[in-house]
Amino acid sequence: MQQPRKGFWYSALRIDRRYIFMLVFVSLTVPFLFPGMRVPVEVQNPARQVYDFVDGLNEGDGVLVAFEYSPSTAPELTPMATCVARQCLKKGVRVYALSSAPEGPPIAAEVFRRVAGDYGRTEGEDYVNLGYKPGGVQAIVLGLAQNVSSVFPTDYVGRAVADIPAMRHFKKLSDLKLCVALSASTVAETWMGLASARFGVPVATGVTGVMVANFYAYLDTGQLVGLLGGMKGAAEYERLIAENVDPERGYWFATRGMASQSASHVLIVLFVLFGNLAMIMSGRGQRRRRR
Amino acid sequence: MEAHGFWGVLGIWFSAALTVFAFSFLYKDNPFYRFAESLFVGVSAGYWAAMAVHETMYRDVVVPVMAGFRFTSSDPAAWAMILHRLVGCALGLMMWSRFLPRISWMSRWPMAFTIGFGTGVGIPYYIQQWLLPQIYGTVVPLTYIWTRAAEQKKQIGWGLNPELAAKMAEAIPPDGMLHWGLTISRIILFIGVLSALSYFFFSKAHKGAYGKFTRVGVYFLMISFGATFGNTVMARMALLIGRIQFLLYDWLGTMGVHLQ
Repeated sequence: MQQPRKGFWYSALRIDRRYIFMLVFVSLTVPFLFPGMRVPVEVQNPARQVYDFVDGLNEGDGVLVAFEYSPSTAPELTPMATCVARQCLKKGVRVYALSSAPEGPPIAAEVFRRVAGDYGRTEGEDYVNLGYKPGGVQAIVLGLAQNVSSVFPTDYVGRAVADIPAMRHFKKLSDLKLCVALSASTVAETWMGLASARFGVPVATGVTGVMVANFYAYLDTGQLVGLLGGMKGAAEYERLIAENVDPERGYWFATRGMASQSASHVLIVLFVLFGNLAMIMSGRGQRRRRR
Repeated sequence: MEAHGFWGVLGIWFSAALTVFAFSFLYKDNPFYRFAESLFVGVSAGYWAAMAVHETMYRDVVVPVMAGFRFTSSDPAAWAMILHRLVGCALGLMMWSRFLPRISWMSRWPMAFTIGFGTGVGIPYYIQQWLLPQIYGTVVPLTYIWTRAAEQKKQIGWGLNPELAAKMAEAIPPDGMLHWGLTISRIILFIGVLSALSYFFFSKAHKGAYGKFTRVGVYFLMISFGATFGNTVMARMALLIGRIQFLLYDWLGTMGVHLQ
């Protein structure tokens, strides 16, 4: 005999999803309104390894940052880019940015605009935005391994690389001490596979939370020198920078978002538990199994 | 808080309006959402097309070829560079022949070149990047003899108060000791790899003890999917947090409301 389709638990299963959206929105917004709700960020090894590697570089060394993402994933990846740029430029390590995504170079320009002035660094001397190059990452990395100017004859704003002082120290990929691939796709794997495995340049990656589980395998095998995963990884790096590189600055994007992140996770776990409880109590699960 | 000029403030307001329009779809479909969606699609397509023409045709073909012609009299090598660019350009144009049935066969040449290049680069790269390192990383001794005490003690102070750091440093085993945590981790890795691979081995029926072992592989896969799902939730929330931060800090900031 079929059970009657009514009661609290049955109604709970048919709740209008807009209430769920509203609760998620509230859980994400409230922590920003009450600064006391900040959560501590514990630094894990994968992020610490990136920090330590950059920390071990010398003044004048070169680091390539590949901005392989678009604004849609910027909340996760731009804080990482900002931290890498901040740590390098503070130390006097030269930063070279490029992208195989058309949206990457403007993001890189914005990161440099925000960071470089804090340490008195100048474009062309201390950092270079090489811009976008179509044709895929494989072709770009293979070209960089031979001659940078054949792939990027000019920088993002059209200056010939021959006229850029910082480019005297970056003629080919092997001149670099580290590549940091920030990506929302498998492009980071391509950087790792070619730059690291084939040309011997250490690679660290910053990837979105969706992808980070796949990348731990590369960290364990030593194919990556460090890994920043999602907003959590960015917040960990921000903490390392805030404590050791730039304690005066108060604007930390990912760290500030972690309380909201945690609140939303708690809410989603409660939703999952509540949904399962409602399924059991309403008897719908049993009916489905009988069918 | 950064100071914005008039156009900066206008940009922030326009951006905030588009954000709200996009989120309004969560309530129900409406003209504001469709306006934001259409604008996004149009701007994205236009931006990509402009970038493709400017970065590929203009910067990689027109500029170097025009520059090359200026040097052909003094430097014969300039001809090689011009030829190099024009051959690439011709192969690219041949791709478009697919739209003309009578000469569509011409598109096979650039396709053959692309596939040949992709395969030639891809196969050794795949073996170097994925296959061999992952095999090396998996086939390891089941026991882990600790050799990194000094390195770990150096790192332990990061971000912790000194008392907690000292307690954690005491817990690090001395060099030469069996590291139980990593040893157990390697045993789990060994069982996980073997059982998950067994699950995808279909030449033997998944029955009896073997069936139970493959079932263990399924549990490992489920844990992996669960971790991926958790990270996906985190990523989606992070994107929403990005927009909320924009509204609360940048947009409200233009109205003189500055949150801590």
